[in-house]
Amino acid sequence: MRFRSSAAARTCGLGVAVLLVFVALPGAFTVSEASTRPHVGGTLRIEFRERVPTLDPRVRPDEAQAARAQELVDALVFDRLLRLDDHGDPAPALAVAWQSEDAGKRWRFQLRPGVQFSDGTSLTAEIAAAALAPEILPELGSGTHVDSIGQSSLSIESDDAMPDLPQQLATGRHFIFRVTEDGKSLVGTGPFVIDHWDSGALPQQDIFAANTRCWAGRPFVDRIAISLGVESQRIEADLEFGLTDAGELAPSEMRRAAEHSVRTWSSEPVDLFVLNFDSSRPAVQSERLREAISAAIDRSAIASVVLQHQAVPAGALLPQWISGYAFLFPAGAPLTSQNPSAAVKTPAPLVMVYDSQDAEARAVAERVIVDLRTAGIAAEAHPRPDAPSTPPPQADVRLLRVAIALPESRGALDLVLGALPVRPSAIAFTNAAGLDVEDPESLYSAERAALADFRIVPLAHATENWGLGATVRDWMAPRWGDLRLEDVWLDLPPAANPQ
Amino acid sequence: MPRNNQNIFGQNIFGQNLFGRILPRRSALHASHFAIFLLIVFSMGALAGAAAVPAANPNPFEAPAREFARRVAGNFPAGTRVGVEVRNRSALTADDVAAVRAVIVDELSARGLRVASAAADSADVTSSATVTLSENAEGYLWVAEIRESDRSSVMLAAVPRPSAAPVAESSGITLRSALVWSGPEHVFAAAAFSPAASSVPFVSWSSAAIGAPDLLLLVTDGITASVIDTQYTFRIALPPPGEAVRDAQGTLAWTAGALIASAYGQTCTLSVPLAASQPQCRADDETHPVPTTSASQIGSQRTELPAACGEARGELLATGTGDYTQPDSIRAYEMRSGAASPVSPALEFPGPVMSLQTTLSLQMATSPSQTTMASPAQRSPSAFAVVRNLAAGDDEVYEISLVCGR
Repeated sequence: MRFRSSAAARTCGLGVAVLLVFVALPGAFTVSEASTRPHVGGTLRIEFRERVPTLDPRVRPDEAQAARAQELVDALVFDRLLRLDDHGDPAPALAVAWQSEDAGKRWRFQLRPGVQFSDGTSLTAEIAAAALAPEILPELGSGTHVDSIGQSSLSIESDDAMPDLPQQLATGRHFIFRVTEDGKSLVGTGPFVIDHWDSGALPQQDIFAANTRCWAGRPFVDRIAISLGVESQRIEADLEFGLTDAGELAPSEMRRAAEHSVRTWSSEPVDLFVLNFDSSRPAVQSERLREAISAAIDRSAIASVVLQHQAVPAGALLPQWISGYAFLFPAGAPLTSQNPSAAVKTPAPLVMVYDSQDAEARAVAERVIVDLRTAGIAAEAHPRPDAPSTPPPQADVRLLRVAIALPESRGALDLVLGALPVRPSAIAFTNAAGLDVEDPESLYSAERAALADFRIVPLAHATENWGLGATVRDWMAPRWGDLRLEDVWLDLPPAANPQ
Repeated sequence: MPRNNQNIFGQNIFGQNLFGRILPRRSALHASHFAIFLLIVFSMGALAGAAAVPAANPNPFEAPAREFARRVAGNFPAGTRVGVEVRNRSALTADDVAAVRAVIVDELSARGLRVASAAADSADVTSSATVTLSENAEGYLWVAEIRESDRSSVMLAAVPRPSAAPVAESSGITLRSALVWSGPEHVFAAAAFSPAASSVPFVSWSSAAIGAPDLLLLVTDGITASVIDTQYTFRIALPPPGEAVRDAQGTLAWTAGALIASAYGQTCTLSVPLAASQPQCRADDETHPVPTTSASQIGSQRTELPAACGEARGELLATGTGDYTQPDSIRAYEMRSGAASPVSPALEFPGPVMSLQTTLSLQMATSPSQTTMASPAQRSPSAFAVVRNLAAGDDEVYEISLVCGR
């Protein structure tokens, strides 16, 4: 990292010294550098609530929160072909140019020249194509082919149009990695390299070091020490006592953090809590019953009490800040003019399944059960078992948490619908017909159609929350909640920051 | 068709202006530069390109509001009495909302509808249009909920956000700003540019200053030039950096007959005509590591302006001391015994100031063989500030001028 020491010096270097003869600005050159520009050095300590058993992007955790945490940590080590800029539009990362052909069924990507993996090997199109292979990333769609074209280009082809492919490749687990010769580890091109990794400890204590070979430049901090699987209360306490620099906070800890003068940052409401009915199950085949369930739920209480005002009630899949039309889907009152629950009988209690590792999901599920029972609808909530060997209970309805890490309306709607195990027929309209991204009315119609038969029932949109230590600067996480730890720097006193 | 259908050099070119939005300058700047312009024109014989000052649009929502109202009107038979209500769920000000409402009502009336206010007797009005001025991550979204007898429908229209320009004034020195460019591309630095630079060995700063919002922008992979009146654009690629940096900075400055661009630890010289110039680059030899301590009350983006407000006073423009997550400000300081004393109120911006550079190097370099510096009373020193708008996500270029003694 190199730059000239002051504005005056830069000006001189640019050949306008003659100007200074005229100007004779006394004392202007004695001003030292100030704090706006980043400083280099130090170790950023950060605590996550989730555990991340592996950094291997080929392995996707079943639970949404665990998958989200893995993506955030993976982004330290691995880059994607594209990234999202501050508008949420695809921007160059490992690819510098891209274009679609054949009505969006074929895409070509030009790789950035000169990129090296952290072990010094060069990025090639063959390596990139292997990392995006359909057997690794089935979410790219069946019938998708990824091929290298020479050393520096790759193509992605499908039988169907892929209008959202750039957004897709800029998000999720579409990371580019290289498998080492012994086949035991992966290397990336990202801003950090793994210095120490121990998934066995609890909490996990992992160290990442700055990647001096990173194509985008060395990150500002020397190291990141990550603790994974830390309880939210402890994170808040560690922030309060200066034992960590940044930590993921549960909604319930936000008020306490504020009381203890801990600096906090919240995303826009991005985490959708949603019920997804399996309408093949006899208990919930009745649309009338599903409508009754939707009408019985007090979404305002979920947002304000269960999620401690770190959420807003949701009647729509997309939050208002992404779509701009969510207010057309009322959420605060029953969704129908008459409450039909009194006329609906269920032969047995409905079974609702939620993520056992997600404390907020559990609290929301319990609140929903209370509301349903109040409305005369028998229901039970069960956690999805941790052990893969334990079969999950037969779910009539699942409570899901979907992180909408994409601020563009059409891509976000596709992301949400794609995350649901049971999709409505409207999904076919959304994906196959290819909505015009410039046409908000089509998007609104698609979302209304997706919610029409009550197989999908939105509950709330919650924020992602972080507590920040006093020395953390340039926490420039985008509105949708991704982390950009490579841009963070620590404002440490000179003695603590030898550089 | 998606906006991101094609991308070259990291810049979307499908359905999007490659050079962002070039905006009309404020006329307040123009008079003070006119004397300089006359001097340059006289001394150089002929420098064309003095463009007329574009008139400011008093209501940036006039056109979209009228178009939206036309669509709304299409839902009702002529002569229908329609209850119209306009609600605001966006960051628009009350004045903006009132202006939009006035345009909508005017257009509906012009289309033969009889507009009733929301307070009208509902029994008398069976048709209604509830317009909600909403917004999303991409811009404003206007929603109309139409009710016509028993039929209801929803209409939506995306409306782009216009930009605003902040102004700060005081009883002493006044700072003024004019937004001259905004766009998604990351800008290191800005300099004025005239089409004359492409054909003659002199550069007319003043032709830009009197109204043509012509800019050179140093961006991540080169230099762009854009002249709005002639739609004249070109892009010069600079060599890729030898060493990538995250907090990359850059400068643009004119010397006699050449443009100097500095970024990524190298300095490149481009001769005129610029469009045909091959950059000659060399590595910088005077570099320092990134600062590791904070020891000042003013920010790290600074630029000097000459003694504009009295012979003995030189002014320093400097930013605030926040980090890149915070709105920033620019303030004028007077240097006294090595310390900076503020002499103007802070001029606020909607994001961090990433670059702040005087434009005076261009004035000096216009014709090195002739004196082009005006007296302090005539001169209106200015600087270009590159601001990263935190709300919009765009980079914005402001021209900052300093006005003495009000």
